[in-house]
Amino acid sequence: MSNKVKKITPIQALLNLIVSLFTISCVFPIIWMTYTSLKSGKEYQENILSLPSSINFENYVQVMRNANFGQYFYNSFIVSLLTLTLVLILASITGYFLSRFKFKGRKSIYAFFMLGLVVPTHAWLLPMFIQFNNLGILDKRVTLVLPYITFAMPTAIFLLESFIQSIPIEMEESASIEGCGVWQSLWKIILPLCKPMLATVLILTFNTSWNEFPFALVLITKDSLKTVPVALSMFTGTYTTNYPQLVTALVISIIPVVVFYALFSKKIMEGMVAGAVKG
Amino acid sequence: MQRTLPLPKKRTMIIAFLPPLLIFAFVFIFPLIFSLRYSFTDWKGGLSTQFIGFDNYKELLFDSNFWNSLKNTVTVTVLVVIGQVGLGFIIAVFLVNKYVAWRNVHRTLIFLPVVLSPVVVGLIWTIVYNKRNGFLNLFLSNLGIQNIPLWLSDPSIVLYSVSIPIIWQFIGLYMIMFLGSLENIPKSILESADIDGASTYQRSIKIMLPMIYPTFKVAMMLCISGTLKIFDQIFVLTGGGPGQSSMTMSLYNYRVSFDMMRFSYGSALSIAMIIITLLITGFSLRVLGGKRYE
Repeated sequence: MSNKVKKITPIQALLNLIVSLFTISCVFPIIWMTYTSLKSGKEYQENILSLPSSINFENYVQVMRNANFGQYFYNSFIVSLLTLTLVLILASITGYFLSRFKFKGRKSIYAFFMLGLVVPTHAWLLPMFIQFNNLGILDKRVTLVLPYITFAMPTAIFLLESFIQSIPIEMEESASIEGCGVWQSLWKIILPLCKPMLATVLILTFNTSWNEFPFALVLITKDSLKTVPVALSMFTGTYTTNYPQLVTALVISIIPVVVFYALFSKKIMEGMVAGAVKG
Repeated sequence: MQRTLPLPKKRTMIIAFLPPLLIFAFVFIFPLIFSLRYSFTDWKGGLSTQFIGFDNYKELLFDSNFWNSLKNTVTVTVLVVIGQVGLGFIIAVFLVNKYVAWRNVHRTLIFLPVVLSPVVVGLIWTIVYNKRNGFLNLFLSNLGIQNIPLWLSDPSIVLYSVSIPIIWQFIGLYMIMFLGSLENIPKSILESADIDGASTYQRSIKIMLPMIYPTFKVAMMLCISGTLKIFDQIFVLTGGGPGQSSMTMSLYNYRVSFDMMRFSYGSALSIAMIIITLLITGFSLRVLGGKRYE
């Protein structure tokens, strides 16, 4: 890259080198995992860095069929899909009402929704387990959706509320004078304008639900309902020696988030930083 | 507060706010109330429960494993804050430098680990740290280094070993936060500093640092509260071991509750964890100054 920059000093070269090394450390694991997933166990033992001698999808067949990864992938997908659908609906309504109306208790409700960002959520592992157990709602398809909504809502509400604040209110004012109801204004005027922010919320929510681990570990014990991160954490115990298969499972598990990131990296970075700054 | 619309009917407000409020109460408030109650009993998951007053909390006061887990949590948090916020800031400073090529490529790729699952990151690093043919040991032995430490099974270094993957994963998040505020510093200020002959070091410490203090504060708070509950990566890397040497508060809470099935004592631990975490974050906020929430 030095030929692109004219008159480069040693310090500038060093800066480039340091940053490049760090960047490589962030990408290399993914490249390595991708080609290692095509290697056999024997090849892996001989040399962990070498490229596969032939393209062989045997590991994928093994992981999808014998380690049941197709099922886990489906479970994670359903939970994430349910979560993001409900978060989009609930957070748009809440964000809209919080930004457009002034009423008693508005600030308290807003603060209440931001609770999830302040408290150490992991302290709720046992309390939530006990409650779900008492009510007999462990090990259901919707079990994880409830906590996941709660974890995603603060960021979603914050992003949508501030985005709606930035939309001029005039259109809704005249619509309201002409007898247009609140829900109609939300559906016909606000939501179409919110599309970019809704997309950000969608991606962020998908990401947190897809990656969530401790609550999935505790609230789901039935193998047929386990999600991908939990299945991955069990993998090391069951298949200690077969690293290429573990790597293959890792590759399968990161496909959705990496594809999303490749398509919308800018949006994801902006959204995560905006959400984080609130926390 | 800006302009608002006329308030709709009460019924409409209830329809809008009741469902999310109920979900929040169901997930956060009710379990907390029940656990608070269980923490004063000897309940172990069976049918019999007896109120035993503050016995669980007394046990907690003398539970050396719990205090050890708190110590580990604080140690990891200090390491991770220095690593994530510090390196995030340094790389951001590098990347606003116009002599670094491909700045956009760097920022996009350095952020990539942030979107991965912490479990995946933990597993990648178990491969890096692997005794027999892990990347790290192969690299070190190729350099001719002998006596390579046991990264994940030596109690004296394990807290450092588990902190590195956590730091590595989230540097990108802090880098982007700092880049955002560094790019907002007016060019004229930096240019006049250049004319006055300020070095890169002086520019970063004397001009950039004070101007990005608000971002620094937010980054510190985010990093502290995020790391105090750290669970996933360490669960995958060591499970808290060897022995108790990398046990953090949330991991210890998990072990007591779900391995030993001590539900009442686990409830007391949960309550203690909430209080201690809020105290530490509250204290950090005081030290850093100002309010975090409006």
